[in-house]
Amino acid sequence: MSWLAGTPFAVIPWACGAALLAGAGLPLLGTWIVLQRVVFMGVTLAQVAAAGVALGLLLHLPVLPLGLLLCALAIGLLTRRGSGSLSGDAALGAGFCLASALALLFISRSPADLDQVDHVLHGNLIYATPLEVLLLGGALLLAVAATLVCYRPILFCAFDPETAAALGLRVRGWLLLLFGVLAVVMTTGMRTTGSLLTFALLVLPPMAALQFRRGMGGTLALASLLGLLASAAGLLTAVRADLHVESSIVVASFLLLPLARAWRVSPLLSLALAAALGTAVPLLAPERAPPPGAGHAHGTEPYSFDVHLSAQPAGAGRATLAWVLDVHHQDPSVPLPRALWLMVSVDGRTEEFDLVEDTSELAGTSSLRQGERTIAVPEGASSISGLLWTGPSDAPESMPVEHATVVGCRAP
Amino acid sequence: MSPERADPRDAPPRLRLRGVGCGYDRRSVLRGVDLDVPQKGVLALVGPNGSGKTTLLRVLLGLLPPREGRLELPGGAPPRLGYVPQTDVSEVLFPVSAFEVVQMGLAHARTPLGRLSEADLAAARRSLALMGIEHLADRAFRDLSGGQRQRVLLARGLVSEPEMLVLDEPVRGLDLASSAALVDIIVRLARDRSMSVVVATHSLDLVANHADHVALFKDGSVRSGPADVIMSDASLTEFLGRPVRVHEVDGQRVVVAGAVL
Repeated sequence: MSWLAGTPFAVIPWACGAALLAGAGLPLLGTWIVLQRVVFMGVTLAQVAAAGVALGLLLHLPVLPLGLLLCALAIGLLTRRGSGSLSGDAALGAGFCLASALALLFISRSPADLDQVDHVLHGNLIYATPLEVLLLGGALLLAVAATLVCYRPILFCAFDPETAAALGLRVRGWLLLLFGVLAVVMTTGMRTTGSLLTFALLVLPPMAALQFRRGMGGTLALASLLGLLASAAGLLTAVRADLHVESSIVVASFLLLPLARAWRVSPLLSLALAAALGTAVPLLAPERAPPPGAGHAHGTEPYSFDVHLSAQPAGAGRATLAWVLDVHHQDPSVPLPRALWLMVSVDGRTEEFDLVEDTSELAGTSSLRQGERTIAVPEGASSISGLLWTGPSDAPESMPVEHATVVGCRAP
Repeated sequence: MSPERADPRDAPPRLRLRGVGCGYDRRSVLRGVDLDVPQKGVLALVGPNGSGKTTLLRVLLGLLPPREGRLELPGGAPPRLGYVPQTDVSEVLFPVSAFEVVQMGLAHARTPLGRLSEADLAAARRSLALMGIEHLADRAFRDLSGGQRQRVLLARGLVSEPEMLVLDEPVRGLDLASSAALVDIIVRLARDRSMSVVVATHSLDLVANHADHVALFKDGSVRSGPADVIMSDASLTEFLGRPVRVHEVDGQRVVVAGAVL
């Protein structure tokens, strides 16, 4: 669609889908956590889910059931004492420390490459696959539907657990339901959004929404809207300024707090601040194109390419290879190679396909492209590597691209 | 006891505790408690901090099972309960309205999707009106004063027309005017609705003027009886360990404690 051209949606559509889903859905659940003053429950569950994913990678087991199992155990332990009351920050802190350490230990022992550590702990948005986005969307839909259908008993149990229990409500059951759906969402989205972004979206938009002093329904809706806006702003910033996507969304979510405070003073002041922040985004870009005729600074290349590969099983002898191409075009006076092709090697067997057919479509000094391809993976293959070419390797003038880095991955 | 007060001896008790012991984890708080909750009128639980008043309330509410002894229901079925908890309401974050808080008291009246019928909503509005705070219905609970919040919680406790209303320190932290107004409402309801009101409090003046039956908590045990017996000079002097006189000023009883004996 032409109106999406130049937006993150045209460049990294699945990453955008995952970020916007998480931005809209997680604050709806996080509002309950913030209101019950059990924010540490959110960060602890995020780490437990990360540990579950890491254990799955270590044992070559499905990560989703394992993450859910660990989360269920953690929720059972952390909500054990009293009639629905939580055991306090000390127990949550202990759980957080243990889960964080276990996640790192499991990953350090797992055969997965070091990128997996980064993905589990800090997210992997730009590699998000359609399946992951679908799963995250389904989990969020389930969670939001459950909390809406059970809104009133959950509200009573969260607001005044003792009276709710005295009037016969199963307080622990309702709170377990709330934390249970939260665990499902976290475990499902952990490899996509990572623990940091998950926790930030759980807590920061609701904190900002509460400053507007709306009713319960209004606060929930506003938290969701603010999370969506923060995700969109973070994505735009990351693509425009070539920044880490998850961290950009976290910072954008944090900035909701002063903007909400400013809104209470004057909505115009808040909008002016938001506009000023938006204007400052291009200043965050790491390198600027030199003025025409100024020549190249020493050590600065006119362009460079980074390609990241990740693979997932796709049936016997097949794998889905997801790729992300990061283009840095520092000197527009030097044209890019007309086309970019990737030659993939899997234990000596090669395949090649085009990443960008016509590089003149790439605009600006920094561009992201992503896609995926099904490739053959011989049994016993251990790694997948790649090489960037200016065209198919059998074309007469094709050659490997200079200033290109291709980060390979483990064969699934 | 004033002639208007209910006589707790004229009907079988609503609840009967015999030899009840209770506590938390390995800590025993109360032992051998014998107590009758009268069919109607005000039963006051009085004692210093940590003496076990709230613990016994939790037993009466079914939140804490007794470790020993019996909790008998002479009427057969457990009474319909209303509860006004001891709250540190300054810490409330939830952006709920006063009307929503009152609706919580109708926990069992909801349809599967959590909606209340028109009749239930009307009952919630009546309960707010009974407390004289219908104009606060749409105000955020967290923005109300301490006295207004207590009235909202009392409206929630009454919305299901309970047979037994349990209040934990209902006038704690309230100014004199708010406290007197709240006590007037509670006492009037106890008379008009023929329900049991169980109230835990530190206020001996409140007990001396309004309770029909009193339970004194001290050193893990409970001494209970009619208010005119328990709230006598001799009984209170023995209980507090210092000379106590109950004076009458303008028709109101005032409890005055002297120096330690």
